[in-house]
Amino acid sequence: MGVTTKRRAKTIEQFAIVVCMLLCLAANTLADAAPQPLVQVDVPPSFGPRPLEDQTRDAVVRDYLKCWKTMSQALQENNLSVLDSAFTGIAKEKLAGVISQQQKANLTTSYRDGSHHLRFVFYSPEGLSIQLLDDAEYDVEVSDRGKTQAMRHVKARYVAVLTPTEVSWKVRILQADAGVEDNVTAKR
Amino acid sequence: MTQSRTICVVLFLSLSIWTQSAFAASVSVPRSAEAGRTITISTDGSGVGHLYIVGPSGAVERTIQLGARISIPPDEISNAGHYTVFLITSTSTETADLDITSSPEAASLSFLARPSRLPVSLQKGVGGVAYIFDAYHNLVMQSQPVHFQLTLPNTAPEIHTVDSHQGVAWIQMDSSARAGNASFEAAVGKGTSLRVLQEVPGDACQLRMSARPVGDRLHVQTAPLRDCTGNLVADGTIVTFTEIYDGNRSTVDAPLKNGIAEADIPANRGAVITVAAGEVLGNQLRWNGGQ
Repeated sequence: MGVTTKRRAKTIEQFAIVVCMLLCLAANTLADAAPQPLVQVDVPPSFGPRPLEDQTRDAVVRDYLKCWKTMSQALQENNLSVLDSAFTGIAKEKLAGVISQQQKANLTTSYRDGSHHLRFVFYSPEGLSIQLLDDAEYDVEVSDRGKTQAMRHVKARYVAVLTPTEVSWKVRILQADAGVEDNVTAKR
Repeated sequence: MTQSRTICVVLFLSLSIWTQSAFAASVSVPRSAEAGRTITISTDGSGVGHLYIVGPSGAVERTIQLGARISIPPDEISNAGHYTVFLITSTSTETADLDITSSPEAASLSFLARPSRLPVSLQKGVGGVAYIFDAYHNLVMQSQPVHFQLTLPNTAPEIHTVDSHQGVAWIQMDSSARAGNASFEAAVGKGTSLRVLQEVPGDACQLRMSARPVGDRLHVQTAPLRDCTGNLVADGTIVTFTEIYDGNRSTVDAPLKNGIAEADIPANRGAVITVAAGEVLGNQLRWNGGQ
């Protein structure tokens, strides 16, 4: 009797493990299926005093795209704690200020980035900062006291400056500015 | 009968459209404004509405009386960025875009100077990168002249002016010919930033030694060791004296002090003594008992 009970318990345990694994797999599949932004990257042949290695370019693009996810999460949840993983310096301080403004007004906003056209414009001689322009398209949605109020599709040009940290690049400046010159295009 | 019904429907629809348009709100927003300016937003219509100005750079919410003008003071929206304006009433949602641009007046800069220690006379050895900000810590996009100045005490400063490009200006300069602590300054508008670079002597240029007997030992000593621009080579630099005698080799390492390295070695008649500092080889002596 005792042996049968143990066997049954073991079977249930194995079944539970399989179910957990399937759930994890399903969750991963769903996460992968979430729409990813379209990304186009341009690296001009000569854009600064330091050449850009492919590995660095890929890491910067990866971490810059991550910063949009982090920003959206932070502003959607009014959550300061997530900023550290992707932002530093002025960019982090300014986003913290926006979260504070949103909290005071009982607002949340969400940003779903649809596409990024990235152009590297400066890589400093010592490799401690890299600057890029991003023609981004995204949807912004505003919610007041948890109730969605409105949404709009936006096209804007961002300038971003990233700096290397121990394991990743972090965004130090993120600023949309209508006054950004399009010299990269103009040169072509 | 059918005709009168149609007229009624048309009248009803016209009335409802007129009513909608009569009470629909509209919002008028400047397409762009400079950071630090008050933003005035006009609305049409009547009744109450909610105004939201949101973007990754700021968030403002107001309950407003439609038809009124709303002023947003600079302290509420001072971050440069793209904002979306939503005006929401009970019957409609109006949207508009608002760009806050950085002020063209530079107020501060973030200056990165590298390296903090380097040898003299190194071509393009000094690097400086300056990011320029306005009074609200927005990156100043308009081109600005940035003055870079490298100064050693009692020497004429080396000054270069570089126009910033998309908020950044950078320069590479040769290090000075003289060793010492150099001030490296970047200045733009009202903002200045100073860094100190330690310029140290380069490698030894000419290495010479002399020897004299002291008791039963031989005292070897270098002449003041200088780099190719005349600076004394840094204290602590290791100088190696090597004595080869009867097929045996013995070495003594001595640190430079005030440009001079010295050591006592066995005084073996017929010994060959050489001296080196890093990759620089000096003269060679053969000890013949003081002759």
